[in-house]
Amino acid sequence: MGRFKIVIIGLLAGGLLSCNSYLDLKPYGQVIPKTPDEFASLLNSTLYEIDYGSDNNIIGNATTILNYECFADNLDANLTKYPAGNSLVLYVGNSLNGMQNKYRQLYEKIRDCNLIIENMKDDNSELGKDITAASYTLRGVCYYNLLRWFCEPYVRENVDNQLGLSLIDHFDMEAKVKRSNMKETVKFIETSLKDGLAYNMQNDVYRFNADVAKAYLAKLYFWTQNWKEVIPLCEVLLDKYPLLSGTDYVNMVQDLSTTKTNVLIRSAIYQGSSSGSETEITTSVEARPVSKKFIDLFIEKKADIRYELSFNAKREEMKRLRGRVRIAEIVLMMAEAYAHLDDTKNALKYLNMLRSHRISPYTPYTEATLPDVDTESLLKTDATGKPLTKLMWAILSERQKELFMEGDRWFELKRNGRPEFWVSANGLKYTTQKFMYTAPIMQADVELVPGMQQNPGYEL
Amino acid sequence: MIIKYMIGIIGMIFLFCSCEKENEVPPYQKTLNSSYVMPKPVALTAEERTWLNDLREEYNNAIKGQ
Repeated sequence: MGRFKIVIIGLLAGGLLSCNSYLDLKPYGQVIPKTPDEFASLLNSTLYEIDYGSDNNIIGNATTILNYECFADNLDANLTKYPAGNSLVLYVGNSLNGMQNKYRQLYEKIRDCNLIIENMKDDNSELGKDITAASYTLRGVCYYNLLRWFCEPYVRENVDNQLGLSLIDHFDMEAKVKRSNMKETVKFIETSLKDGLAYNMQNDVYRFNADVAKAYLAKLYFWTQNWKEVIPLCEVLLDKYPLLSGTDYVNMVQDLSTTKTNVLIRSAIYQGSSSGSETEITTSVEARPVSKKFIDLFIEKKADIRYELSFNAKREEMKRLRGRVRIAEIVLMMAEAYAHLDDTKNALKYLNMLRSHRISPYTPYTEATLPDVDTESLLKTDATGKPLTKLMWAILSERQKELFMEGDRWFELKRNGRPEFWVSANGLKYTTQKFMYTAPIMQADVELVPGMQQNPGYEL
Repeated sequence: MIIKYMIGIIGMIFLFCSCEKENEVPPYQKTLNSSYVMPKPVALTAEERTWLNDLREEYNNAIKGQ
């Protein structure tokens, strides 16, 4: 009888106490940092990757930039020299499945930012504020990159129905968040960048300072056709960082490690020894010549400083490949924003401002002297779907020349109508179709998150 | 005797029901393949081959002697 009672009591004790909490511990193998220094180290790993050129997602390193250029039309894939050109991506279709890794890696960075933002809120130390500001801005930049790659181009009339991103604003390793719509996504990114900007962080050590936040906020507004908001942000930046010209401009573009005042943020300030360094990549790109169509954009030939800076007589590209955000892009955004607002006078003002810093001797464009639209060009429409005007054509051409080999052209094609085009290898024709401008989100997320939608065009 | 059995049964109920999510396991992927199918390349037409040859000829002439 006594033994029976003991067994029963034992069973009850076991039943009531079993699986109470110890089995709920998740083997994450990581602890949440506590001090500002510990949080800083979380951010520093990302900044280190950018500084040493191993980051291929946030600002982009030489490999990233080269791949983006291989997707677009500045280089002519049809003229690729083999076998030297075997290491170059033929067209975007070869890389789209790999973009799932970019998606995952960007969300990992967002996770780190969320961890810092959530846990550093009450820290009033200068270090704490700087890290929080940088984290807000970095999160905004990560989401901006996700927006450009994993969402279709912005269509103003359809923002409530267009697929956006999974918006995660707190640290939760088990969050299963389905995609929002475009409107919510843009608002989220805007808020994150504005939150970063609110700290007015000026410390260059953490890279994502107030000026970088302003630049990305302007880029977000530009991508989402919020033209009126683009202009004041760009004006502030241009006022602070006037355009360079001549030797200063060439040095800014080509110098291996110096930072000049026209660059707000860039990759590979320090040249690491890892594979994919700027020097190594620049050697491999010789196998793919610069396209004639691009060269023909230089009406002024050698009077334009970018002519000999961009390519040599063998049509080999000459620019340093690196991810960066610089003032020339800001000026071109202003010109285009004014053009969309039908303010031709100011659009010409900023277009001419850029050209006057690049071409010598220089004659300003007027409405009457703008070049004709090249009807053979890939681009047929502007960002809003309207046929290209002479002014818009001039602005987009100037952008193509200025930001050549800086990873910009692919997104310009995406933003301005997603033209379909083909390249050839081994007697076969590979076409970049419209849907391929938008990469697939991670297949695992589609399967694991209830209600998660893949982008159109992707079948297993 | 009945009380003993009842106590025993209650004990068993507590034991087996105490883990709320006894089947909780990490979510798994049904599909191991994460590669999406890209459009297949097609053979060039004669017209496209001619266009490519012209393109290469123009390029070779342009860089001749460089």
